[in-house]
Amino acid sequence: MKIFSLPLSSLKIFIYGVIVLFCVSLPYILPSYYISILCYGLVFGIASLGFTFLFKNVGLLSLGHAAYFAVGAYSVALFMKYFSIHSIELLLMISIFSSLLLSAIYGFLCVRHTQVYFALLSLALAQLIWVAINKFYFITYGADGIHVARPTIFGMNFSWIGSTEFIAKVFYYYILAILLVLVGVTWIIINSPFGRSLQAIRDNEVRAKFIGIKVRLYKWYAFLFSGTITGISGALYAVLNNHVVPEIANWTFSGEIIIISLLGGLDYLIGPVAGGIIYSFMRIYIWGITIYWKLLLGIVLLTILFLIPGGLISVIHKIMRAQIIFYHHSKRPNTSSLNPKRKMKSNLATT
Amino acid sequence: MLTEALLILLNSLFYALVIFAVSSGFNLIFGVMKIVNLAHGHFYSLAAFISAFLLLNTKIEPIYLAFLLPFLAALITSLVGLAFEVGLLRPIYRKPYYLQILLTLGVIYIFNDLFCIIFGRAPLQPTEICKAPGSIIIFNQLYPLYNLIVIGVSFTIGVILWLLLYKTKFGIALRAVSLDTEISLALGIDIKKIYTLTFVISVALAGIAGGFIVPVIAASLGIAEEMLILSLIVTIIGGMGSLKGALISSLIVSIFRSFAIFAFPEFELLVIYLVATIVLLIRPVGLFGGG
Repeated sequence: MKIFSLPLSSLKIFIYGVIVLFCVSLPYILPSYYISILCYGLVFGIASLGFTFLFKNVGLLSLGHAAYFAVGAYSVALFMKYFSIHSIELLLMISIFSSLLLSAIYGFLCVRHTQVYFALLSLALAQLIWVAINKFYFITYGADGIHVARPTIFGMNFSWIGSTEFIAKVFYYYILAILLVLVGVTWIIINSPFGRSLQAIRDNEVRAKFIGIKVRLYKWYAFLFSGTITGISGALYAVLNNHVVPEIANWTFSGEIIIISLLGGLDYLIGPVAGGIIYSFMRIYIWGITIYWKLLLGIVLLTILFLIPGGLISVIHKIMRAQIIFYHHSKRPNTSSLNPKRKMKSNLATT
Repeated sequence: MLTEALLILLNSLFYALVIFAVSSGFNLIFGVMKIVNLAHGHFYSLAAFISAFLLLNTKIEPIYLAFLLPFLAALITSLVGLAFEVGLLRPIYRKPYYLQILLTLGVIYIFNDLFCIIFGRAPLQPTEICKAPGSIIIFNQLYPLYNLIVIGVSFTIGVILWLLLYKTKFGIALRAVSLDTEISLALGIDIKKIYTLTFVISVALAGIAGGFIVPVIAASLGIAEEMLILSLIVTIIGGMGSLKGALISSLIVSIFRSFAIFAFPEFELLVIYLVATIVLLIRPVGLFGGG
């Protein structure tokens, strides 16, 4: 079966349908506390979906995705505080616009470069946002952060339920819906001619130029998309967390976004989401043990890099493949992870 | 007004030499080993912490012998750098660039918390060594002699670095490796040795900068990231893998920074970024970058 002339087997549709149904019924299975942690996981997942899109399909390693996240979050907080806008739809529009604007400017400066130079430039530029949030404390309240009130969803305030209930029973579905839409859009883009052109640019920029791809423009478009997705997740985070602090603009958070997508696995569209969920549960439990949780975070990153470069999903996938032999799974991409060239070939094979 | 401007220039020379010591090491590592060492700022702050710790916890008479302690801190830091190179960087020399960047990113997290555990969260600032040499009158204003001593030390080290790179056999081998690794391997240059020495020298440079800056700037967790960002900007302005670029752009960055702090302190970093952006728009590879 094919949708939009894109490859999608009926078995896959069935599996994804079951997963979505499971996610929808979760608030009635698990206690609210776990659902709120899960919400953080989904939001982090959306943030690193943006990073993963840029890294996997265009080959640009951004060390500054925290900037777009923070701009998304802070535009929600600031507009709610200074203009009393409470409709979440409007706030989302505003943060999409502001993160789009920021990624347009930064993208213009960054996409001229590749590899190391791009990574360093994105880090340096992103740090500017962190400095700005700290320096303009008369607007952003510096390290204290800004409180974010509960917004209205489709004009409804849900004032009759408590805040935990609101997160678990209402806002969870909102995040889930946005996540599904964004994953779908990303999937369509990756499999569109535009996505293929991006992968061609990643594999060989000079050749891509020769066959008539506007390299810099396409990279800029990809950068815009990636930054905007991360901005949306920032807006959701602001509402979810009730509070925004400058820490979410610092490079440590950019690093966390990268760790999340490596944790889940870069080869899978659902990888960042899985990574986000694992990460947020891990974070909560490590917080309970020690304040030096960043130390463990660093160790986790090194462990993933050295031992499981394909991420956790690739491990699960390998175990599944070893035990059950799906007849059509022989066409699946080779999951030996961080080798873009091999991935490219197998992607072409599936089309 | 003129005397103030001259003093600001002198101050910015002080900071320029410190930034140069860190960013030249950063540049050297990239030029020779093709590795972006995001943890370079942390070696600088490690040396600052060790130096502050030694200066606060030891009583040395006469006080002038205390000037050896920053060198001791730099030595210890370079030993840590040696262990880092042998243990973590060696396995990933042939790996793709992003693995190397992510490895150093992971090391930053570990260093940050380790420094917290070892040295505590409070900033360390030994002021005695700074006061010991007294101050002299320049342009009718008091100026601490310590800063001038640091300028002298950095200058000497810069000259030694230049002699090492351009007048010795090791320097020739090092530059050969940075130009073409495979050909220099074929010529019989021991690349592993060159890599290790380059890394240790670069870390020692950052270590000396960190060791001597500590009475002026307190050793705290933030200085590593601040210095990393400054050396990134210096590298972006000066161009990757160019020592001359690193020197000139650290002068530019530091002069702009000092005047910005004097005129409008809120926008200190913004001004430097503006300079970097203008350079990038005119010359995307940096002032002295190749290609």
